[in-house]
Amino acid sequence: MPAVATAELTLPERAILASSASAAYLDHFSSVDRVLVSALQQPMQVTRKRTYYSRGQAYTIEWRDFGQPLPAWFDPLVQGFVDVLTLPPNWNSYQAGTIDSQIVHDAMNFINGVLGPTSPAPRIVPLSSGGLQLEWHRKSIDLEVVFDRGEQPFFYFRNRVSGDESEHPLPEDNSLLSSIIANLE
Amino acid sequence: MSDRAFEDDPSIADEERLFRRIPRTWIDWDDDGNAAISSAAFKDEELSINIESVMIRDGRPPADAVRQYPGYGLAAITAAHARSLNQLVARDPIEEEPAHGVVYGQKKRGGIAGKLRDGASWVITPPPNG
Repeated sequence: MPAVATAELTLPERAILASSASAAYLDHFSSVDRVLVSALQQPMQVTRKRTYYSRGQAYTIEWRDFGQPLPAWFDPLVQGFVDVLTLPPNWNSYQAGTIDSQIVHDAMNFINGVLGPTSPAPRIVPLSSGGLQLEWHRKSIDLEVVFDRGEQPFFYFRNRVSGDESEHPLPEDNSLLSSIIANLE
Repeated sequence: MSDRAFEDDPSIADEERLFRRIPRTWIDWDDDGNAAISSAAFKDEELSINIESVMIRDGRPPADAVRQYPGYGLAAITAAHARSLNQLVARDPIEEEPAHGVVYGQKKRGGIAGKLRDGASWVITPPPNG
């Protein structure tokens, strides 16, 4: 286990998944396991906690759910967010500042509500401006979801075979984004 | 962000190579060790680059652009490629980098940054575990 210089946990980070993760999995749990649970054996929420390490810092994330297995994207996704949170000033050698923690918070909550249980994990990539983008490059598709300072989130889609490309505002086009991600599985 | 205005400099030839340092966080290695650059590396409206001919004039090899940045890669695009995407290419020498220049223009929308990236080639490819 890496050395930990500081134990850092801010309230926004703690709250990242507290509500949306539970909501996202509740429907899945219900549809799969409802028939197995009698009326007297209602599923119980439990508090869960995981710690992620990056550049000598530790981030602990706590949330409540039904104890179901976490999707495969969960750990790489959160590790990616923690990795951009710990970038030092001038991380790109061109005087970039640190990544805005509020943007990380917003992006985590957003994507947690969009990904399905079997979705492929995106890469979390920092922007010089202090924002970040989530990237998928699979099946000849380039998909980038951009969160930046002072701008409405949007996503960019390109089919590398046909050359078709388009941009869409978020959250207005959430459903389109979800369907594109589903086709990347 | 700077409010400086730039004009395209016709003394920078279309075939001029423009070098951009690439930190590891902008690189995705596939299972075969091939390094792909994120479009994020080319999204700055005022994109800093090194102009190769100025480095040659000063007797500096391309690797000098990353000499102080261990683990970084170095990618190159041509001035013609940048101009084809409605970018301006200008000299912007600074004290610590006489070869400094700027590729100026909007890149965040319309997939411009990704298309700049598509025209980039590695000059120095960082190792996956470097």
